Amino acid sequence: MRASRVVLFVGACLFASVVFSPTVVRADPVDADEDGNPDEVFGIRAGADLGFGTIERGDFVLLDASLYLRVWNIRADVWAPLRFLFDGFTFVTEDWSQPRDINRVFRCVRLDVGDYEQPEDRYDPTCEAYPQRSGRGLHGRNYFSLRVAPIQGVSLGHETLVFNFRGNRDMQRPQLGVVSDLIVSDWLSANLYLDDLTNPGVMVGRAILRPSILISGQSWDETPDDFVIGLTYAGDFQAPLYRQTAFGRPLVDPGNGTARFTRDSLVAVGADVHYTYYWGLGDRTAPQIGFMVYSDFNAFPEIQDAFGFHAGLRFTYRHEGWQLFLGGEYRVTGNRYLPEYFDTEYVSRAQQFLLTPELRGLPGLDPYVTKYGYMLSRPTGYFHSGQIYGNVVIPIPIDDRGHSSPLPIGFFIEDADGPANASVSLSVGPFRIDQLVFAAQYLRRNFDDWSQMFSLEGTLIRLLGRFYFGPSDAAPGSIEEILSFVHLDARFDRRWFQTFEGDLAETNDFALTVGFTAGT
Amino acid sequence: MTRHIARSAAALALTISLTSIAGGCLAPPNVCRGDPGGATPTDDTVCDHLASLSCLAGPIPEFVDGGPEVGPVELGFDAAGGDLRTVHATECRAGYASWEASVGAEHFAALTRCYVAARNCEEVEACNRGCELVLRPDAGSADAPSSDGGATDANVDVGIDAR
Repeated sequence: MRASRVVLFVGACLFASVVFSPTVVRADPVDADEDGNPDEVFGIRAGADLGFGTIERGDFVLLDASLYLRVWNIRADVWAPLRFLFDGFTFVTEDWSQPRDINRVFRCVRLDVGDYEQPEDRYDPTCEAYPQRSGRGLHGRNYFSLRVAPIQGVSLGHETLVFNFRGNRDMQRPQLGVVSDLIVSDWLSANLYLDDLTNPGVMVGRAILRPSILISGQSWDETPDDFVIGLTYAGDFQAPLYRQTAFGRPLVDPGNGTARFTRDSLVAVGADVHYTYYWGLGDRTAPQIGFMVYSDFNAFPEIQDAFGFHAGLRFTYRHEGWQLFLGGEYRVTGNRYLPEYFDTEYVSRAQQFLLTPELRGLPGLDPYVTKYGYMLSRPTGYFHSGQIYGNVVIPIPIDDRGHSSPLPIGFFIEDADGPANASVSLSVGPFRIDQLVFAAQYLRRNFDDWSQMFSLEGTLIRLLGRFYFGPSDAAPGSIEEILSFVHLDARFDRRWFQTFEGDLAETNDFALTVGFTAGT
Repeated sequence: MTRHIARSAAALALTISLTSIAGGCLAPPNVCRGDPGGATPTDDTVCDHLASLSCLAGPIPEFVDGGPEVGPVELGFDAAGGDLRTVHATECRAGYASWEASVGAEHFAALTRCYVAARNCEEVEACNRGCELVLRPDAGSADAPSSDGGATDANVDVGIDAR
């Protein structure tokens, strides 16, 4: 019955893509973005994708129908990602077997209000907050964004507590989260993220305040110094505490084949400050060089010795679109504090922490120990540790008028006393230019020997990108315009997945699809 | 969620006020302590009771020494339910036999009575926790997890608060 509804829904989407794709709906001229051109109140784009994917060690034909709809500043990007077994072309009804799976059609639904750069009316796989409007002053910016989308790549503040968090193991079949961003002039900004709209577990948020701006009206990027106070909250309402077992055998829920856990809430709070002083401000032809000092204190207040004190120094260089920062961080942490607790692998490690050979080799640990349980199992006390990190933003030219798009590349290397405490991360993007959007990430945690930093076992690797075959501003009627409707999507995800027995195993998911979208 | 938000706010207040970091106040149901004694339930009794609670035992995965291989992973889409119960019947009895041989008779009897008295999977797990230090087979056993499992600090909140 459900399968027939899904097929009906997909049919409706495909029908809509045919009927509405050439439709351009125009309303009375409005120029809300003050760019001198009347705004289109409505935007629509529809299409479909077809391709092949290997997901959780199974081969599938992938068929997606997509529809993008904008009414003023409410944008809804919906899709129907359908899988068919490659062998036999059988529709995988299990992707839609739970009532809440229907939420998955909302790939990115968003409301943006205030000062932001109007994007093209087409799919944005990052679903991030929009940048400020070009040519406008930074200081008057007020912006609010509320988005419903799968949560990925969420980092907060100095990234000591929340680092590249994602709310789903499988981004091909994710559940929706909620994101909100608020910017009030220069002096206040806040973010709030919820991992799963229909079954909330992880909620993280942060607010920062620039008191000097609020009190004295200074502009932080026009005065040499910048002082910021931040507060961070991160919690999991239903953190797995114990894997439920009987006679040492893990228990499985026959309803959905998932592992059974005894759960408890887990809360972390953090406070931080940073102060940056710049040389070279006011002279746009000269490089700006800055030094930042910062300090973070994070704690899981309900757990003894689960605190982390971080003190760091960061060198910053900015010139002609280039940005570079390099930093080092010294930490005094309780034995029960795990740095960047809510990270990309949290959803997996929260269930099963011993996911690398080095961790499995640690003596005296229950092999089913959860991340929360591992934290609790550590002795009390504290230790010293450190991290080296860096980030470079490369301005990639996008046109002949001097405009560029930033390509961010970031890394960190960290280690601490004790075994299996070394971690390394590399992130590239998200990067957007007219015809290309991509992001990549490498994360290897809990190893000992630095020669093993590129070992694949227990390592998360993620690549995703979309390429349009023609530019968005192609001349009407040209071959380039037709090519601009065609895109190629590629995804690779080395990650963990839950097996039939409820345990986690590694998978190398790969999907390649070719699609066509047309619209306003 | 309201309860958790309130709890989070309370936790924040604790931090800000710089009071001592306190443990939780919930205690795990220590079923073993209230064990009335009696005969040791048979493997059929225990395993059937666990199945009636939908607490189905799966195989020990490859990351546990001595456990079976996960092997080529089947999609398992249509296997949930029936196949899991078959697996449970085998694994639960194998686990029963394994633990019966490696755990002291008195403690094994207490554990199995606890399993039979449990009303849900959380309580089954609590049986393991309540008797944790005496009931688990020795670490290194070829067919069982190690003896040190999870929290051992009495100040830590290990309350069962399943949602």
